[in-house]
Order: sequence, then structure tokens, then C-alpha cells
Amino acid sequence: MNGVEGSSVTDVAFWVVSAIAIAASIMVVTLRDIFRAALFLALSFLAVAGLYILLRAEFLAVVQILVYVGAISILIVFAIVLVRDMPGGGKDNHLKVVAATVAALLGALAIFVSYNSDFTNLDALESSNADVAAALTGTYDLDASNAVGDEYEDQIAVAPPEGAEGTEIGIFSNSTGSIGGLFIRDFVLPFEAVSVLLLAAMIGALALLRQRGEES
Amino acid sequence: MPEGFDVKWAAVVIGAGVGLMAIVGLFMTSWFLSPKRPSEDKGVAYESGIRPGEFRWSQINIRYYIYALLFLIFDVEAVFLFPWTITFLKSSDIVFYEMLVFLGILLFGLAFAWRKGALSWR
Repeated sequence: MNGVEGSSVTDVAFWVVSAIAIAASIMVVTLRDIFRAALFLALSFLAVAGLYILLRAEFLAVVQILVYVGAISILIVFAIVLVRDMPGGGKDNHLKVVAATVAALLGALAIFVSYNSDFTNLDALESSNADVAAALTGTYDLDASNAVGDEYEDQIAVAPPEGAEGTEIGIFSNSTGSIGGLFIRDFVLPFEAVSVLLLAAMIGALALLRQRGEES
Repeated sequence: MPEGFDVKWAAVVIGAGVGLMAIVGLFMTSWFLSPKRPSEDKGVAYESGIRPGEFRWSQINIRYYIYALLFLIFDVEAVFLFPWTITFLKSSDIVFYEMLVFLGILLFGLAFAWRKGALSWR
């Protein structure tokens, strides 16, 4: 939490949630019973949602709980019970060295990137897309809006927090409303395209089922 | 951290803790109060039923999976509803119709599935 003033309570919460996430992740890869591993994966997702809350990304936390804890875990459990003879887990193979190497490289990459990024510097982001940066910093302003009438201009906008001179203090304040503002103003077409994407996913799922039904 | 962050989320944590304690407390209470005279017959999943065989794992019907997939799709749709609910009342009318188009496309998919008989149990 570099650059953000944290209290001791949030520090304790951060360590507790991180410990739960790491412990659950270790259980996922070490347990032989794949069903219990899936349950620990859900716990790990829940702990990551806690980390998002500590990062002031409440919307992302809600999405994490709704989609990952609520739906992806269910899908994984369904996939397990649909497969025959799974309780014993997979057989041992000789790919342990390869897997360990790839995991170590990815971990090293993640550590390298997180040490070399300045997370409090939003200048680069602002130059690429001012609206997204404004939403992240809670200074979203509808003055420049065309889609929304003038009489509403001060409604969606989140008041810039005090001391908004530096972006550190205001980062991620009330991100949900700002994201909604972006949906209805700048990203209407991608937003509607998402529904077409979901429709395609639905039809694909139904097509899979029909194929199976016709075989039998 | 903004002001009040600790206090607001402490309420959430306390609420979750109390809920968890209630569940654990109920189980603990029944465990302490119940008489325990175990026997082999009582350990069977269905008492007086057929004895379970060697295989404790059975494959369930693939049809259940379609409901899990449909649930996931409408779950993702709900994610997009949240930011919209915060903003649409305070915006112009066109925002409301934007969401209607969004929901309409998905409802078309559901109606299509229904019509094709994908939701019926054959």
C-alpha cells in the first residue's frame, strides 16, 4: 500500500487476509482430494476479494465474490462431479520439474513488475485516457458530457476528495458510480457488445448440450 | 485510506463474524447436548437402507451443467447491473433504454433456448 496512508487495523486485516489466501492456495495444490481442493480454491477467491476491498476497489471485490466465488467455483465443482473416478486425484507424472520452473519464472516476473511499477503515478494513465483516470481517482466530471443533460451534470460526478492535488488520497474513491458513469457515457457500444458476447456464450453452451443429446 | 474506512468495514467483518459464530455455535450446541451411542448401522447414509458399495463416486448427468453455465452468464449480467443502478436515476432517459437493449439481447437468448427446448428435461 505504497503511498496510501494505512492504519494498523487495515495492516492487520491485510496480513490476515493474505495469510488465508496463501494458505488456501497451498492447500489447493497439495490436497489429493480434488473436491476439497475446489472448496479451498473458493476460499482463496474470497480472500482475494478481501484484498480488493483493502485496495479500495469495492466494485471489483463484489465482482470477485459474485463471479468467482459464486459462479466459477460452482462450475469447477460441477466439472468435478461430472467426471468419473476423480476422488483419487491425477496420477503422478514426470512434469514436476517443468511445472516448478514455469511457476518460479512467473512468480519472479510478478515480483519484478510489482517492484518496478509506481502505482501512485497516474500521469501515464491520464495521458492515455483521461476519463478512465478520472474514474479511478474519483474526480469524474460530467461537464464535458454530451450524453447526459446539463441538469444532471453534478449528480454522477463524485466530489473530488479533499487534498485532490496529489492523486494518492482520492484513488479508487467510490469506483462503482464512476464505472457506471463510464458505461453510460463513453463506453456504450462496448457495454452493449458485452451482451452479445454473453448471448454467444449462451448459444455455445446450448449447442454443446444439443450435440450430446442427438448422439444418445 | 479515506476516513471511516476502518469503521465501515469493521461493521461488515463483525457481521460476518457473528453469522459464522451463530452457525458454529449451533453445531457445537447440538454436538454437546446430543447423546452419543455410535453403532455401525447408524453410520450408514440411509438408515435401514441398502448398504453402500465400494464405489463412493458416481457420475451425474451432464444436463446439470447447462444450468451452471446459464447461471454464470446471468451472474455476469448482474455485475453490469450494479454500476448502472447507481447512475441511471440521475441520468437522462436514454440510459434506461441502453440497459433495456442490454437485457433484451440476453432475454432473446433465453427465449431462444426455451423455444429450442434446451431447458426441458428429457
